[in-house]
Amino acid sequence: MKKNTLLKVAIVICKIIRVSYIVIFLIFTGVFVHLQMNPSSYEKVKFNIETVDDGTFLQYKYSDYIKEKEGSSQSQELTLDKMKISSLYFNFIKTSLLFWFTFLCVKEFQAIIESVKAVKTFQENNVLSFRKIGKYLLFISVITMFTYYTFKNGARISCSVSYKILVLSLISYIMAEVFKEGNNLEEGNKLTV
Amino acid sequence: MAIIVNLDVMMAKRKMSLSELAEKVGITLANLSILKNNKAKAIRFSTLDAVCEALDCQPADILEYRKE
Repeated sequence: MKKNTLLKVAIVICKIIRVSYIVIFLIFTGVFVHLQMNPSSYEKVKFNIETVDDGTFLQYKYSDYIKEKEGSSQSQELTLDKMKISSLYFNFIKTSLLFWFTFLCVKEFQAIIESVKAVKTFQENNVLSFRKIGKYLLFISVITMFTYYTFKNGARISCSVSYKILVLSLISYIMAEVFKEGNNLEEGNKLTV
Repeated sequence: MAIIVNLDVMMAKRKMSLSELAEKVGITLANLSILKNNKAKAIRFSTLDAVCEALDCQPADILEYRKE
């Protein structure tokens, strides 16, 4: 294939994203460890519990409340140091899994772009890569379903399905089928004497 | 596939080697091997025409339908 700048740029971007994911995850883990060792350092880190659930459907909120302490104006402020240990671990595992699956998605996407650049577009590997991306996106969809933030003075536990990720997953599976048909056509063409 | 290519039978009858046939037909040895080993998914009329001319035979001498 002739010099394709767009594909080269895409591969470089994928590599940058993968490296930055590792760096961000390490920082995130560092913050998680430091938060448990020294929670007082995070008493000014405010937490917005009223996050907008954009792009979700079938939302079910189990509970969403703020306990108000009488006579205290600061009672509604949810800071990171007040987060309960169960919620802390839940969100750490959830975010770690999110990082891992997103990292794998980018890795597979990079492999597809590299094969397209090497003029090996319609190959079985790409079909498998698209299927893997679809599977990872389904996992991400399941992981992001549950919101579990519990603080000493408030909580938010909800369950919602993000249709955006589900649509992306569906597109991935469709692309896998498109590439499978392409692979069949190419093989047929190759085996025509 | 139910279509069997009997190229080797005709080649043996005509005492012709694979490389010789490939040269006469004007296709690569690899492609002719695909055809001979029943790996081909399709055959062009132009190839069939060239093979029949080189082996002095009919298409039916090379191709056979066997019910699976």
